[in-house]
Amino acid sequence: MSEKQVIDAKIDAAARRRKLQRGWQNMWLGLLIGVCLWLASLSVYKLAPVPQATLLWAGVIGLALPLAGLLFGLAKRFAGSDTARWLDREIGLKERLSTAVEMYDISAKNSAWSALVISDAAKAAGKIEPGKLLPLRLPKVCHWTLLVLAACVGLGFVPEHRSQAHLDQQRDSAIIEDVGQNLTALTKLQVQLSPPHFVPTKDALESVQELGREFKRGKLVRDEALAKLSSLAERLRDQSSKLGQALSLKKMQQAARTPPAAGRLTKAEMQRQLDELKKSLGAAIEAKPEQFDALKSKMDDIKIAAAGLPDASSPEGQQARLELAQSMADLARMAEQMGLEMPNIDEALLALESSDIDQFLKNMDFAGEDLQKMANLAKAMQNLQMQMAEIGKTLGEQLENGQVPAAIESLQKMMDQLASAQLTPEQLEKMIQELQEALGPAEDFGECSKCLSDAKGKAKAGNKAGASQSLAEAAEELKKVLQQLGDMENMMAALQNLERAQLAVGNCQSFGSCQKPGVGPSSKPGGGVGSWGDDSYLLTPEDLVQRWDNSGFSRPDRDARGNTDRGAGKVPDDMVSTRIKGKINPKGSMPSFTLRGVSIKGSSKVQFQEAVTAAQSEARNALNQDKVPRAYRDSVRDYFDDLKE
Amino acid sequence: MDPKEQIGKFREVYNSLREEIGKVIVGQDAIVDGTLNALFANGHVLLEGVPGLGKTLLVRTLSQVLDLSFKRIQFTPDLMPADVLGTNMVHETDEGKRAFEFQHGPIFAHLVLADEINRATPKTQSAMLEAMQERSVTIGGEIRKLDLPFFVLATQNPIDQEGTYPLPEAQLDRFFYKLLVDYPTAEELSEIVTRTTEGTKVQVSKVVNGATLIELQQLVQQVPVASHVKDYAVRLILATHPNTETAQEITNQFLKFGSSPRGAQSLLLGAKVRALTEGRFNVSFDDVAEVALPALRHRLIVNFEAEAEGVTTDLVLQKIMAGVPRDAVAASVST
Repeated sequence: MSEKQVIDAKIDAAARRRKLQRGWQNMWLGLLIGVCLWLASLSVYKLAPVPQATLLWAGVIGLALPLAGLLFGLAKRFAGSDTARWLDREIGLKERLSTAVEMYDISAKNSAWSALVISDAAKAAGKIEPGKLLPLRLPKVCHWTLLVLAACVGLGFVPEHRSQAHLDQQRDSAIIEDVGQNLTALTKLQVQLSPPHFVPTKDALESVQELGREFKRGKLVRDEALAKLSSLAERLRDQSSKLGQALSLKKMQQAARTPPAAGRLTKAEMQRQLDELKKSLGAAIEAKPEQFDALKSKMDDIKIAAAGLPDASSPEGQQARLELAQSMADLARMAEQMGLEMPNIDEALLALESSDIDQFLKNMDFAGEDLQKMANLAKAMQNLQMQMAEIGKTLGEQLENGQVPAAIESLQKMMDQLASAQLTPEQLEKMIQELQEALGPAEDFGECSKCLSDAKGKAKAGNKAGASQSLAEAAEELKKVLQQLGDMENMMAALQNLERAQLAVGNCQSFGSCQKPGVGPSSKPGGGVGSWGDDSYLLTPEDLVQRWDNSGFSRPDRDARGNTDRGAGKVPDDMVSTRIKGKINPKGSMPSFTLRGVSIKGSSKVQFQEAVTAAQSEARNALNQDKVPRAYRDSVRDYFDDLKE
Repeated sequence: MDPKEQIGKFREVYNSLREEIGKVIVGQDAIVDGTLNALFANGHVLLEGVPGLGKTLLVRTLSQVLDLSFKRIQFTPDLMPADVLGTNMVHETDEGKRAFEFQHGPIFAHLVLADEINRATPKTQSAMLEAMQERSVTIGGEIRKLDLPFFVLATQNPIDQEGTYPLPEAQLDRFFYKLLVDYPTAEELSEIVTRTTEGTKVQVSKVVNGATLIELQQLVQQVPVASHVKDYAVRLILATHPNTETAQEITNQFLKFGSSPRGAQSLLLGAKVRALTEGRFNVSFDDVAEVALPALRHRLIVNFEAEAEGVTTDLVLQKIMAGVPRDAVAASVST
């Protein structure tokens, strides 16, 4: 290696090392700056109401700075002459290297001197060790970084200082965002499950979703949010009241409310469900729900007795075991009579024989769960049978009761009969008669009456094809009405969501906690009350369905506790449950009673105007849904109007 | 000759001179080194010090170790330029005719000692100007070249201001170095007393002749200087110029005039000699810094404020050197 090469190699090595060390030092410096930035942000966050995102950004920048410092340091290029000068200065080479580098291109005249200088520099360069000259040690800045980091950790334990007004505003924003999210999710789910058929409904639902999205952006204050909710709810209410004015829809709504699902399912569908339930029940198809209750009661008695079972070695214990075995045998017999197969009872018996009470109780719990499932199935079957029984026999009755799917099914059956070659004159006459009877009830269903009339005329004239065509048109009319009902239900659901949102924003509560008692998302009694009231609604549609359907869950820990003087749920044999319909005299005084409860001390967190608005909204909803007796509607409306003034 | 051999010879001569002078002169290393440095740089030296510090002895010793002609001029107020340079005299030739003949003055020597130069009038002092710069004198319209090497060593007394004439700036600028001769230390004084009171005679031998000296002076000029070192010397000079962009605060405060370009020449030439004496083949920042005071102190003119406050040019120079970064590029790059 020539002397020039020796010098160049050392200078290159030193330049690389300088670059590396510069990167290393810059990285630590970047880290220090980043940590200082984070400390400053944290301090500001602790003292001032800056958004939480500030901390996030400070953290991201803080982490990016060391990397940027490293890259910046590594990107620095050190020229050979610069490094030579630096080496001269650092090692005290008396400018040997830098002079030699400058003399590389010296003219031939001074080549002897040049060689002399380069040779001298090469000798000096041979002793240079860049690694030792620039060791990669932790820089001094590292200590400061650790100190600032420790300060950050310490500051983390210092509580935040926020004004009450800011905390209120933050809570409002969070609630508005939560409401917006829920409103959007619920409306989206609603549109997926039951797509709207008409433009006004689509527009209305889109408006609700848009409002939800606006809420989610979190830029609205509470008053604005309430105003927007109120305005949109008013619009939806107007639209739904217009839709609801049609007599047919009222009938259908009535049919849809009592009994459940009767107004929506066809008879064939109900029959299919019934068959499935029968199949699930198996041999216990004849078992009555009351029998299940009795069996359950018996099992509970046995469990209580087993829990307090005396020691097996004592005579009392042996006697109690005998009695328990007898009770179990009775239970097994009862189950057998009902046609139930309960293997857990047999296993429980075995456990009792081996004096394993824990296993016995466990098996009894499993048996109880099985029994409950079967009881639910039996109850569902009973309900379905009741619903099927309430479906009108003729087309007229079905239309009168608002049972549109059943009516469509009947029309389809008539069309099939007309298309069939085996239609007897008697059957045709009967059909004409049925159509004649349905003309009156069909007047509430748009053009349906006219179509039925046409069908009747054509059937009388022997024009079976024409009659069939008219019946098909009538069925189409009914389907259209069905769609209107679906849209109206959509509208009502959206309205209900908006009212819940109003309640949530107005009362500063989360959307989930504003569930009205008795009306849960699954329309099951008790939804939103008690143990399941904390659902967040931030779930996928599948999850939501799973969570709503909690019929399969057993929560013994949430069973009612306490003593009752009536025994363990037993009702005396001579007591019969009866239903008495209440009568309210419109001119009489309104019944009233006084509630005594715990008085809530302190100042209200809700503005009076907002509370009144929320109460008015609820009252209006109750009035619209016929929850207030007709006689008192004016009084209720006047009362809330007076409040507003 | 190969530069390496020449450098070897230079060091050999230098060390021999140092050794021979050391036989006579006790201590005063900086003055001896400075004088030899100026000798090899082909520059003149102004020695300033109170009487009795060995200034004249140093020059006389130098004349003994150099195989060169030596003349001493004792400057007095009545000394005339002709007494220094020489004059045309009328004399009778062998043929009995009368003719002008030039009588060479003491300036016509290789080594001239201008003792107590500030005692002569400015007129006489100025007679030295051409000789020192051009190495020639003009007498009666005729230019007469001086023999090379030509080396003026002047001494002056900083006290006894009565009857003295401070050297004009132009004259001062001709001196390569101004060396301040200080008192000897206790050990040096003891040695001086011993040598001078016990009747011991010290014999010094001649080390170098004129031709070799010229050769070595030429060698000095070939020593390479890196651009950033040269830049440092230039920036130092520029920093002494008051009321300019490059001037420092202290420059503007205490200096009336800064160094001339001769200052930069002295800096670099002196640094080159120093590099060779240190055994190096290139000039370093240290070399420049080391010769900055003797090379520049007599070229700066302090203002009234500095004089009133007793601020010397040495102090100003030290402050300027502290304020001028050696490597301007490296100063901006920390690693």
